[in-house]
Amino acid sequence: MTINKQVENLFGSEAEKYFANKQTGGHSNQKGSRYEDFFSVMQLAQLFQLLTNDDDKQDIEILAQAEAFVDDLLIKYRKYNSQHHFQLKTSPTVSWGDGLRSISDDFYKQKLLNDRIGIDNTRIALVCSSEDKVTLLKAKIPNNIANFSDIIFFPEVKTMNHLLLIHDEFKILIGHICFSTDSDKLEALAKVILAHWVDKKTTLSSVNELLSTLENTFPNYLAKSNITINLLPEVERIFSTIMGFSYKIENGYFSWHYRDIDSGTIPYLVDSNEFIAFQQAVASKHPKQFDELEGVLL
Amino acid sequence: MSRQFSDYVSDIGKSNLARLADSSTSVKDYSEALYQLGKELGDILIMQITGEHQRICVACTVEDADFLAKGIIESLSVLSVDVSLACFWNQRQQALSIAPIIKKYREPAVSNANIVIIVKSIISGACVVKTNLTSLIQEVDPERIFVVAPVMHADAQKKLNSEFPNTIADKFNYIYFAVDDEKQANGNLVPGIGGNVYQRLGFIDQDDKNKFIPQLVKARRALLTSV
Repeated sequence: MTINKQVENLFGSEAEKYFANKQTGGHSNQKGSRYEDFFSVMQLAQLFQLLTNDDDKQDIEILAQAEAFVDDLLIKYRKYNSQHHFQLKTSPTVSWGDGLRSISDDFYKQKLLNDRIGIDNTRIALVCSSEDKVTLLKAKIPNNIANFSDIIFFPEVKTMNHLLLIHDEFKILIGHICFSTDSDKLEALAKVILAHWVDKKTTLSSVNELLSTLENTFPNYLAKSNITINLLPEVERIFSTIMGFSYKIENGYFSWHYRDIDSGTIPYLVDSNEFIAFQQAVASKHPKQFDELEGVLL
Repeated sequence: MSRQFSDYVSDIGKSNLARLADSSTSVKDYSEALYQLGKELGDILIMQITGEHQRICVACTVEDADFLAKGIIESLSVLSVDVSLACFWNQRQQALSIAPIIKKYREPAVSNANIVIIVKSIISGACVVKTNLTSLIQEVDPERIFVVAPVMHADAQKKLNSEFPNTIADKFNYIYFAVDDEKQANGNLVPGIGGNVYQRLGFIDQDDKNKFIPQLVKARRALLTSV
């Protein structure tokens, strides 16, 4: 039975027409919807972290404009038979409302529909760009949806850099999957994820596949925790003789400092051919002081 | 194509801008024109920076250090204030408007700066300026931020402002000589600074300029590490 038929059986033909229109309208509104895309990047960062830490790579789907009453973003956790729906609102007049086409009614119907089609766990979130509205909506949440609903604040801004500067939760989530916590690397990773999402959201819903395509992109700025490497003994010896020079290999990348003045990162993974070539160049040039080494570090 | 000059520009400044725009200008003359423009921009900054006990950080990219930034720092030397330097090596990816930092030189006194002067030979998409300024403000909380360039695109201010919350963008003070509104498909402004600054300064490409260590950095670091 199609989802539209399920809706008609459950709520009648008028609700089914509204449900069908919601999909059409949603698709056109989706165009250029920066707010939804930025929020999706945050969800993807969280899901990528989950998958990276999960040995069995559970099957998770992410859908923009799903066939649903609460349809802006849907995340399906197949392993747990769970669904997480998100409705995003930037309007200053957003309210729960009542009756057909209201947010509260959409949330209520979505839960009933999910129960009917056998979803074990349903969470539904209203994402709102006004902190004051979030407080108000939390205080006035209708009783019939309170058990499965959340209200989330997510700011509306024009650029990813701005978002990273003002939204700590977003910054922390990106930081968990990025090889560095430097602001430039966080922004680069967030924008790479955004570009992937915008490019593939209409054709690819598997979060595993999205992560896999991202991992195969260069540069991708993702942390690689499963790489262990030792520097060539000769390179280690050279570095140890250069006064004021220190380095670390973390999350798959080599970064260095010279006194409190210079610092940098080799932009290739430490298990890459480029990094082997870098080590060979250090061994071959055999620098004795930082001035001789720094040209090789670039 | 249209170019608007700002009130700050002098006839000498216009002449140096024309030298940049002229594709037949040699690397040596091009570098000299950038240095002279830096000196002149520095003279304007001197008039804007008043009061004692100012602590200035000049922030630039590797390609701008030896000419534009050097000219500004030399002009600022008439002020009896501390001037520190931060220099960035960026790996720009135009398609994503990102410019991650692969190396930075940052003098210890940068941490104490209450005025940041961020210098760039041309500001178009503002991607590099945004990245380097964001990096700086993680550690420095300046009272004033001067965004300084000989040439800017007509939309550059709007773009740069949108990258920051108002608490930061309200501190911006733009100082420039000319605004261009025509951009080629490759991102270069017309007349701009006569094409790609890396190539005009004699570098092959971005990778080549990122292997370069400016004399300004070498000289200042030598002074710091010899103490």
